[in-house]
Amino acid sequence: MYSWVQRLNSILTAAGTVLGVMSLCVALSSLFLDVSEREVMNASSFQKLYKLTSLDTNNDQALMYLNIDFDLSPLFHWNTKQCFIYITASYDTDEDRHSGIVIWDKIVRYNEPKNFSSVVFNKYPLIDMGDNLRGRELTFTLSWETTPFVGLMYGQRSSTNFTHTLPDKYSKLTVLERSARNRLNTEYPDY
Amino acid sequence: TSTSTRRGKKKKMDYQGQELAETIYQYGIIISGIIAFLYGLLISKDILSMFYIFGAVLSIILIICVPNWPIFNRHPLKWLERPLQPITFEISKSKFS
Repeated sequence: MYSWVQRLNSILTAAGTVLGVMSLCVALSSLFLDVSEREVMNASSFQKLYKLTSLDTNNDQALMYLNIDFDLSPLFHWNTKQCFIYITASYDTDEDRHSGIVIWDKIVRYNEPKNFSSVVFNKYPLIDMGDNLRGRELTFTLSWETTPFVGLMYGQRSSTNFTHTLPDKYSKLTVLERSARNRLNTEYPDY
Repeated sequence: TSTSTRRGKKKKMDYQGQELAETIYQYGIIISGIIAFLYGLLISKDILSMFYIFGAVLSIILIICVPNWPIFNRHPLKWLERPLQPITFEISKSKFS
């Protein structure tokens, strides 16, 4: 304490230590402030199938419109920085395989409005490894992960909701898509 | 005159002043940490306000404790006078030289 430089050093290191302890207390407080999954309002539903086609690689692809409506306000206490919310379409296939594909996601930050109500299209296409999507029943699940300011990200929560059954046949291709497919088939013949 | 150049210690803080400054900042930082945490947790529900309050009280404590205020120098140390003549030493002959 004999010079101002030494006093400045001591004060700033003490402040740093106290900041560390305060951050630890903030992280511990978020254990008591997190809510269960039931309190998140979720009223989403299936809107319309856009098309169900077979790709050139013989994989199935489904594109659709979804009616998304959720409210994440109970999730945001003082230690949540942002919430990553995503929709998974899951189904069982004939070969004892359970597939889940993320088709839409969004980041909701602490200083943005926390409710969302709109019709969305596939952000990421639903592509199956194979041709198992005809007549398949899809289960759409809304899941989220919260990022804290201080603390651990301990994983997702989810609330299951709506299902939808895909049609038994592929959608009809438009004239442009059919001509493009024919062109591809004739340009690359087998060796 | 030759006494105008002081090569010894300048007038800063005395020992009682240093002890006072140390107790001020130690208890002040801990109390400000507790108050900032409780304010952010209960009243404002905002983590940024916790850091702002802690930073504000920390700035006040820095202004109080870091500079050499005369309050901390109420019992100044008395140093010896600087001698006018240079001090010379005589190296005495020892038995082994």
